[in-house]
Amino acid sequence: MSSRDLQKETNKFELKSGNDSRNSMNNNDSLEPSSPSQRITESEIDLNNVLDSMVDIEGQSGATVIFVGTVRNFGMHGKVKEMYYESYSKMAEKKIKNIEKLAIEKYGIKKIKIVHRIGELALGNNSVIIALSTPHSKDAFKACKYILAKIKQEVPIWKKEILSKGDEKWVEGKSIKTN
Amino acid sequence: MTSQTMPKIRVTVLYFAYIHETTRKKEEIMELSTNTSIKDLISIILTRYPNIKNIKNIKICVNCHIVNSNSASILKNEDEVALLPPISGG
Repeated sequence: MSSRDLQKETNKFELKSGNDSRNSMNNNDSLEPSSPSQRITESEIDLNNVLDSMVDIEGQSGATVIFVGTVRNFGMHGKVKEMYYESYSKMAEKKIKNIEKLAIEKYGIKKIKIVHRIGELALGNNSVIIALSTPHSKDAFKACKYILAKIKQEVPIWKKEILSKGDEKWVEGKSIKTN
Repeated sequence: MTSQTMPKIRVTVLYFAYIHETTRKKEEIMELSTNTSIKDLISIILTRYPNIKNIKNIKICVNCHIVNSNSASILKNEDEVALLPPISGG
């Protein structure tokens, strides 16, 4: 079995794990401003759905900020033609959920949605979105930066650059931060 | 009691990113004696896959909680142990 085949098999396993994780979520989800959702996905991230989820008909929010991370054509190891993302989905879902809770408390977020895509992504594809709304814009921008930093520090996701010259190399990241 | 009749536990071990390129497998079930600690298991894994030693800053998780790789805590049946190399998401 090739390395890539092995990774595809891995994703099947991870998606199963992710489902288990979602099934085991407790009622604390109902305390969050946004409804519980899949935070790690192999599917394309639909920005229109994300925008729709930020609509606040009660008018509690005065600002919505959306960060979209995309696959670029250069990386740590040279010219990139696509990117492969892998995750420990069960743990990643829990970590992102915890980051949401911390950010909600810290910045008074009224609505929030975080999704990270895994699998093989083409150049320009959306790899991660962070969408949130707050009463004031200053808090929304701060919260978005805070969340992105926490994702990079704490969420078990890895990326591999598929290079134009033909080889594939994992991006050397940072040791996962313990709390 | 002979070693053949000693009670055993089954632990799932997960390998991620460049670690599974070293082990050539993403996961495996290990059958261990009931008094196996986290430290013991890591020792078993490193004996089986010595090249893992070349990967720096690996974190160990038990049931999604990061633990000390030298921990004397005893593993339980059906625990899930994951080896996490440095991350690069976002």
